[in-house]
Amino acid sequence: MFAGHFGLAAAVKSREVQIPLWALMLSTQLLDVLFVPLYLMHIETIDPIGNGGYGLGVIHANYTHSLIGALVIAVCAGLLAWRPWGRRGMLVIAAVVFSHWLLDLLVHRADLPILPGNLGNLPLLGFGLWAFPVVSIVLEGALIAVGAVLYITSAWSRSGASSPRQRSNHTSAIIAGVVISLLLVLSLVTDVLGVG
Amino acid sequence: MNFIIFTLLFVVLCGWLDSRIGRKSSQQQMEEEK
Repeated sequence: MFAGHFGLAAAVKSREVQIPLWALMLSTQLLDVLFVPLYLMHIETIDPIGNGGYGLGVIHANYTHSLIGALVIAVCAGLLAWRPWGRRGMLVIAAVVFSHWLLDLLVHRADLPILPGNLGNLPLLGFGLWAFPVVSIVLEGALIAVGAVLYITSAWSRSGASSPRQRSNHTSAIIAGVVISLLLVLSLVTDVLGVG
Repeated sequence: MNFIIFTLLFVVLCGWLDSRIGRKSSQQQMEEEK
């Protein structure tokens, strides 16, 4: 899942206007961002299934995507967010970082460990929606749609509703909101086509 | 690893667009100061 995480970030932004959108978007993808250097060092790996397209892979991200690992990363990210965005920002960023693991739990095949490094060989988790690509694409599309609608509504109100002179601000906000929504759709397209 | 490039691209583009919302133009600020 790639685009669905961004959809969630847009939805959260509509309610938590004090936190910049870039911080929320980065937070939703933080586990995957941290996965990249570990992947390059062959510490975490992907076993492709077939041609390795959308959702076709067993991901051995035993540190970044373990339940406890994700919780630790979420707490660390939350602490970093404390200073710039206060206590509420800390809680929101930590929750958004951990939301990545919860959404991945829905789509991943059973490859998410509980403890880092799959310590103790406990059962691996994952409800496996990726085995039904149409269902997971619809789920991601729904997350994007909800996020986009909430975000555009919030952008409209943030642009200043009181003065008629600020009508141009409204137009700019709507344009920005629509462009951001199109970028979210593009992120789903790139994921499904295997470009990302 | 196109993933990381796409992630950063989307984060930067969306973040920049979002930061423009609600920001007043210099002309509007001048009008308000008057």
